Amino acid sequence: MTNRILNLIKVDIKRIVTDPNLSGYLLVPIALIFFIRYFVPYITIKYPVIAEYHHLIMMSGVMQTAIIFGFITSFMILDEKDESVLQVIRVMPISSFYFIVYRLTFATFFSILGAFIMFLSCDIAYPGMVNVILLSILYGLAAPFMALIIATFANNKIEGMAYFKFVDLILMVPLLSLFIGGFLKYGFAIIPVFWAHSLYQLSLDESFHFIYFLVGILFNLFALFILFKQFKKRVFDR
Amino acid sequence: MISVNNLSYTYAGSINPAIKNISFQIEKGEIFGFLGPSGSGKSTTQKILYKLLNDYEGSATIDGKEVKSWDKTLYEKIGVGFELPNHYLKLTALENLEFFRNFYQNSQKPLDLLAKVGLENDARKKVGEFSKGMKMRLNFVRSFMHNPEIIFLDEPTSGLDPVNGRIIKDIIKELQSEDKTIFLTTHQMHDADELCNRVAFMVDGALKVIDSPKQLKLKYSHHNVEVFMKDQQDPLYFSMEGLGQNEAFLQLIRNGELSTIHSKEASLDEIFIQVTGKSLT
Repeated sequence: MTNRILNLIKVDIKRIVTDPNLSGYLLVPIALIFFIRYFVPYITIKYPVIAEYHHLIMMSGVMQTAIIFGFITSFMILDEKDESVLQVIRVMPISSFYFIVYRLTFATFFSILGAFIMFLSCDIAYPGMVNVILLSILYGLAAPFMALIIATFANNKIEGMAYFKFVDLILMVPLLSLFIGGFLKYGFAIIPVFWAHSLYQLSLDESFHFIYFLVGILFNLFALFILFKQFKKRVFDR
Repeated sequence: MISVNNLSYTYAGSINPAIKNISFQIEKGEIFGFLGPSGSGKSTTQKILYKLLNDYEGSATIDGKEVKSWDKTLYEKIGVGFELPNHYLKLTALENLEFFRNFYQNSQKPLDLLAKVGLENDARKKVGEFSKGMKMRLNFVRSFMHNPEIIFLDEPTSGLDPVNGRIIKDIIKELQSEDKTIFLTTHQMHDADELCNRVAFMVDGALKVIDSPKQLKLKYSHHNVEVFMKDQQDPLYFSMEGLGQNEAFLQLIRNGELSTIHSKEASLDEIFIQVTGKSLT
C-alpha cells in the first residue's frame, strides 16, 4: 500500500513539474508570500490605514494559496478524464474510493503546508502558533472543495478555469461576514471557508476558539462528502 | 473460466435492454471472438464481465464466482485492453507502464513488454508524441503486463499497419499457448477468423450464433469451386459434391486450360450478413 501511494505521489509531482502550465501556478503562493511579507508592510508605512485590513489581506492570501493546490489537482484530474486514464484506474486492483481520497489528500496536504508557510512567513496578522495550525487545516480544506467542484462539473480545462474563477469568487463572499454584526453573519456559514475566516478574526488576539475549528471541520467534511459522492457518480463510475 | 447465463442489462433511463438473455461459456485457453456492429451490446457485455456494470440480471461468473461478488482482486486475474488509447500523455511510455505496474502484485518488466511490440526505442518518448498505432501497442502490452489469466481485448489491431498488426496477432497466439483465455472484440473478421477458436455474432443485444469459424464456413458456404479459364472472362462453377466424377470439370483439368481454381468458401463477413441480416460496419 505504501509503495502504491509513493508511486502515485512520485508520478503526480512529475506531472506537475513537467507541465509548464501546472508548474506555473505553483508560483502563485510564492508571489503572494512575497507580496504580503514585503509589499504590504511597505505600503502600510505610507498609508497606515491599511493596517486595519491586514487580517483581511491575510485571509485572502491564505485562501488563494490554499485553493491553488485544489486547482492544480483538479486540472490533473481533468487531464485524466480527457486522456481516459480514469477508465484504466477502474480496472486496476486499487479501490476507486482510495484513489479519490489519495488525490484529495494530496491537494489538502500541500494546501495546508502552503497556508502554514504563509502564516509563518507573513506576520502582519499573526494569530499564534496553535491557531496557525488550526487555521492552516481549515483553509487547507478549501483545496479538495475546489478540486472536487472543478473535476466533477467541468468538461474540459476551459470550463475548469471558468469554474475556478466562479468558486474563487464564492469563497471570497464570506469575507463580507466580517463587516456584518450579530447573528446575520451566520448566513454565510454554509460556505465552509466562513469558519476559517471567523476563527481567524477571533484569534487575532491569540485567544483560542476551538469550537469554530470543530464546526468548520464538520461543515467542510459535510460539503466534501456531498461533492465526493457527486464526483464518484458523475465522473469515476460513469 | 467464464460462464454467462441468461444475462440481461438495461441502462438506467432506457426502456429497451442493451443485452437480452445471452448465454455462453468460454473455456480456459480459448480465444473467443465477440463480433457485432456498433451498439449491438458487445461493450455492455464486456463491462459486465470486467465489473464496471454490477446491476445486471442473470448470471456472469469468472472462475465460478459471480462477477458482482468479486472484489478488486478480480483485476489481478483479468487484464483489459481498451478500444481507444488511454495513457498519461505527458509521461513517457516507460513511465506509464511503471506507474500502472505498481498497482499489481506481480508484473513483467516494462522494457521487455515495450520491446515485444517494437517500442523499445520510444520507451523514453512522451506518449503525447506517439501515433495512434503506437498508443494502441502500449494499450495492448499494458493489458497483460501483470500476467492475467483472462485478457479482454477490444479491437487490438485497430489503427495498426499490417506489420504491427501481425506482431500483435502473433503475441495473442503466444498468450494462448501460455494457457491464457482471451476475449476478443473486433470488427476485423479476418483477425477473428485467424485467431479465434470460436466466435459469437451479436446483434441488437442478442446472440445469433456461436461456433468455430471453421464450422460456420462449412455450414454456410455454397460448397462450389470457381474455375477461371485462360481465355474466358467469366468463371465457371462446379459443385464440390461428386467433383471427382464431374466429367466437365475433369475435362477442363485434362485439357490444361485452367487459369485458377478456388473453393468458394464463405468469409466470416459474408456469414455474418447471412446469419444476422446486418453488416459489421
